[in-house]
Amino acid sequence: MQKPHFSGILKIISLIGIIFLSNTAVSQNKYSISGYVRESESRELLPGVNIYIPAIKGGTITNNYGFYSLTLPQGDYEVRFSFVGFDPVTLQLSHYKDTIINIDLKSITLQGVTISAEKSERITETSEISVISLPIQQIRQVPVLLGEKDVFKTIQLMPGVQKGSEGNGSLYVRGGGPDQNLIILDDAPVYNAFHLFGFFSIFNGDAIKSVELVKGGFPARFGGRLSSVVEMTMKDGNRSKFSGEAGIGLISSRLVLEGPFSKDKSSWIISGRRTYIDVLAKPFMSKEEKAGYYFYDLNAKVNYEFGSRDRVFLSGYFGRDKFSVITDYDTKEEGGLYWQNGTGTLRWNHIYNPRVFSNTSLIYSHYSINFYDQESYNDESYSLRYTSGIRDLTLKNDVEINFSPFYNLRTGLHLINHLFTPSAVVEKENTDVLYDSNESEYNSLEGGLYVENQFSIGQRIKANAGLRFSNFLADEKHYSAFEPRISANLIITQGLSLKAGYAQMNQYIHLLSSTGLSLPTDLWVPSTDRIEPQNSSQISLGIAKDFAKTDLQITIEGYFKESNNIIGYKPGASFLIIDDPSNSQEFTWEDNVTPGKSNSYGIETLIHKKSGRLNGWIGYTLSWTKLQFDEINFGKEFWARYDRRHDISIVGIYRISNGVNFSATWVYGTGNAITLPVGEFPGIEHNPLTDALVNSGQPFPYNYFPSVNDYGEMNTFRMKPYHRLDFAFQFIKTREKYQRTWEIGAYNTYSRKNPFFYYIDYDYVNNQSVSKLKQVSIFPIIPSITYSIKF
Amino acid sequence: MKFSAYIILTLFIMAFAGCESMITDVEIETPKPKIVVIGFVSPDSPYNSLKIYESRPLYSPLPSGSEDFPVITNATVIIYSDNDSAIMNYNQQYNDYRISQDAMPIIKGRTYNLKVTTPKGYYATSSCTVPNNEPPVLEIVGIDTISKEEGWDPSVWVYQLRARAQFKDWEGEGHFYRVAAGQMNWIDGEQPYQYSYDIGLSRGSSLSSDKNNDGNTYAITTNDFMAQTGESIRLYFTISITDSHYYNYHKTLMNFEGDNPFAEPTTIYSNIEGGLGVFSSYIQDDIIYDIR
Repeated sequence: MQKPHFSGILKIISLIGIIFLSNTAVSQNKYSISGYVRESESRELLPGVNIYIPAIKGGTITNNYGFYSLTLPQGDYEVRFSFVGFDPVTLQLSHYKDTIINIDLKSITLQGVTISAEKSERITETSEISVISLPIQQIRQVPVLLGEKDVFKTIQLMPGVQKGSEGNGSLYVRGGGPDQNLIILDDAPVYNAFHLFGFFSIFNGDAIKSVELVKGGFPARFGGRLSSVVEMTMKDGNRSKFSGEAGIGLISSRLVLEGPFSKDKSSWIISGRRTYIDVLAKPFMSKEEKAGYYFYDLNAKVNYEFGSRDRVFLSGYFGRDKFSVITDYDTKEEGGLYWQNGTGTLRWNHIYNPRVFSNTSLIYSHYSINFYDQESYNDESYSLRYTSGIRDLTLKNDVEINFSPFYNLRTGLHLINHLFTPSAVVEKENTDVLYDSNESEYNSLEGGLYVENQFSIGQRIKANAGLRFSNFLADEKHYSAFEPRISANLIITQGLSLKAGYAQMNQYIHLLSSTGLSLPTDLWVPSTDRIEPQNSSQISLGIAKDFAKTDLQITIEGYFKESNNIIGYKPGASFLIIDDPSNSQEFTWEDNVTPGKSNSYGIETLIHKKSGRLNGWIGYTLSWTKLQFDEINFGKEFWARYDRRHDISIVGIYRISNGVNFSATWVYGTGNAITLPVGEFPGIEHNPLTDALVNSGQPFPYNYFPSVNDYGEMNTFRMKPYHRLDFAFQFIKTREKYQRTWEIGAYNTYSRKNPFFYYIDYDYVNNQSVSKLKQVSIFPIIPSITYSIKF
Repeated sequence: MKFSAYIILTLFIMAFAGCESMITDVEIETPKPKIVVIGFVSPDSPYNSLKIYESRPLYSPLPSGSEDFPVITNATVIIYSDNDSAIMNYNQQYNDYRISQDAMPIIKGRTYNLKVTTPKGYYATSSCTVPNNEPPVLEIVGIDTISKEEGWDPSVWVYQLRARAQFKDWEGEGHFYRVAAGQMNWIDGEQPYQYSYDIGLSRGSSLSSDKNNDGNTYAITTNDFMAQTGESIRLYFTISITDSHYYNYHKTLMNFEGDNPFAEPTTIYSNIEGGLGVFSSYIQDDIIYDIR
């Protein structure tokens, strides 16, 4: 791990100072244009809108809060505002003073399908590399399991992102594990992003405004994870009128309501979703035995504009999954499992002057898993309660300063207080406490200070160079590191560019997971004096091509990522302690993990068409991921379970006619690398006690003969390749006061039996026992139908 | 196309795909059997022995009527060091290959090599170095009475006991230890049974490595054991200093979780080139502690 140097901090501070001074010197004949870009009907702020000034062949984009700022020499300019799915706006500007221009863009949709003739932001003109913005419209049209629109399942269709097991929404980005993704909802980190044991993500697509995935070339403002950032912004709420959307699906229903508090000044949005399997199954259960499962989630957000310079947003998320079993005979027993996420974000946007924008956020995030068992018989009672969780309190401040169309500065400070509760157990008999492990809490402080310089050199080179200083204090152990970041774009010709990026990342918290499955029982734990932070270095290199006429973008990127101190599980380790939570006092996670290294490299190709009658993408990834741990596989290198040589995703969305859309997805992936037993042999143990008797004169043979597996080499067996075709039809009809949509579709249309897991079983053939390898698949063709209305 | 036509098309596709069993056989080439050699040698054992088997390949028929592992009885086994060489012969009584200390003395600090060949074409080699140190002293720290209850006969008391012991690691890293605790009971005035059972440990590990713990004191506590009035107990404690092969092999055996899908698969450690199993060494001390 890099050691922090005080001189480095001084250099950063000096750099900021020089920049401020130089700005003062040059600002005398320059003026700024700044403002917010909004959607014309709902007045929803639009992040990622392209602002382009042909005269200088440059521009900017709106930030996450829909704000932009450009500083230009005085003169007359044409300014173009464009965003995929919206009518472009072009202004003629006489620029002789600081000007505030708020722009409303009009969405061009016809019967629910974007038919924008305007182009998306040109990828060849941004300095970013390995960043994918997903249009929400496409997320809502991609066919998914049971019709539940899912941000994560759509992200899985992007090159460089692998899914875990069948149906699971976990993300494995460029060889990294699901614990290495920073998932942010309105600035708040989300620790367990899944419902129903990973089959559905917790993010309600109706309430999300934008989604961006960063896989490499990380800007310095992001830190704390090695592999990716998934940044999501919730809608702010309709500022002009009350509106809503409701949907009924096979397993859940959802509702979104939004409207203004005070027109054009403040708005609110609330959305909720709940499953009803438990309600539907209830009549079929006996009075004595009942079991149920449900999940729900709630999103809410309000915002208020205090004058033209200040806006305040308060947003929150809460979701819970609960599985319970009740038996009521002589003894009444109730047991179950529930896990819950909660986040809350209070944000204050302040415009100091047209060039300086700041955001200050106070963030709360909490995740916990609870297991409970209660028994009662007459006056006697017994209860066992197990809890594990993490709670974050974050304060962050980010400042953006626009010096010119060719230079932007971002800087900020993030402070996070993590409170880990890896396991808390309370066992009671009647009122007597048999066991209470409340002391197992770990408090820690994580900090990040960064500077990002976004600049252009001439007309051809654009870059984002930054530095992040991160540190972590826990259990009287202090870790810190400097993390240099750079991404650059060399424009070869108009519409064709060469991109490169380099990023060092540190991750101070770890996820202990059971094998290959993203279960809610996975535990978050901090770095300690024994378990050091994970760190990685990644280089990306790519070519980007825009086809302006067809609004087609092609990127080809190669990457090489090396990670150290990643967490591996020692042979035999299991963290599924809910099997017997009362034993959790014996649980010493540090003894069960071992640090190691990972090397991943590959090539990703993405052909993306974000708008038009036929839109969608083709993604192909060729990749390799190898792991090495001193205490796993006897120190020898091995393929990661999710090492996937080939991964293909084809997504097509087609408007058949006004009001009828068709979408289809086909995916293919090389089978997972697993360790398969190839034989059995006697695991004879030396028994010292028998030896002790032998030594006293009596010869005894070895006396213990368990059968153990010969696994051969680690992860050298490949499961069968995965492939699947999904499709959906959407039928949209616009009535006078509302628009209704029927969606019918199918997941795994040709019912491919994709492997979920393998096991060994014995068949009897000709009076002989024959061991066979069996494959379990979980989803044949799954039809779906949903109905939704928008008003 | 009308809305209804799309629904009919979808239903048709679904009906066509149908529902079949979601468990299917995976065809896989039958692996070849391997030679398995398992042996633990010690300067203190009057005889040192090896067991030699053939592993049972999966995805193939099991030998009918028996789940035993086939013992290889016709192997040629040569044990040799820089100073000596000897053949270990098959012993039908014990179903193993053995050699006495007189024929092949096992000496502290010396490296022993093993070469196994069979008529079927198996060829396996291995080597191990006997630890240089004696085992450290295992000190019995105390016998705790956890409970004392009246038995079915009012004159008989039933005791629940627990023993504590400790030992100190030798200076310098690279030491491996194994401890065990057994119990024998007998009625006063009679001979103890030639049978002991493993009490097991409630605290501390039966296998220890001093990696990152050099020079530490290791404490162990046994599980609870029972005794009653008129009965004597003999506790057997053993402490062994072992080579790394002994430690790694037993550690992976203890971690082996069978088919637990929620545990990492445990590859059993082997230092047998050309096969499976272990050839390793240890030096053991026994401590007898009688409780009356």
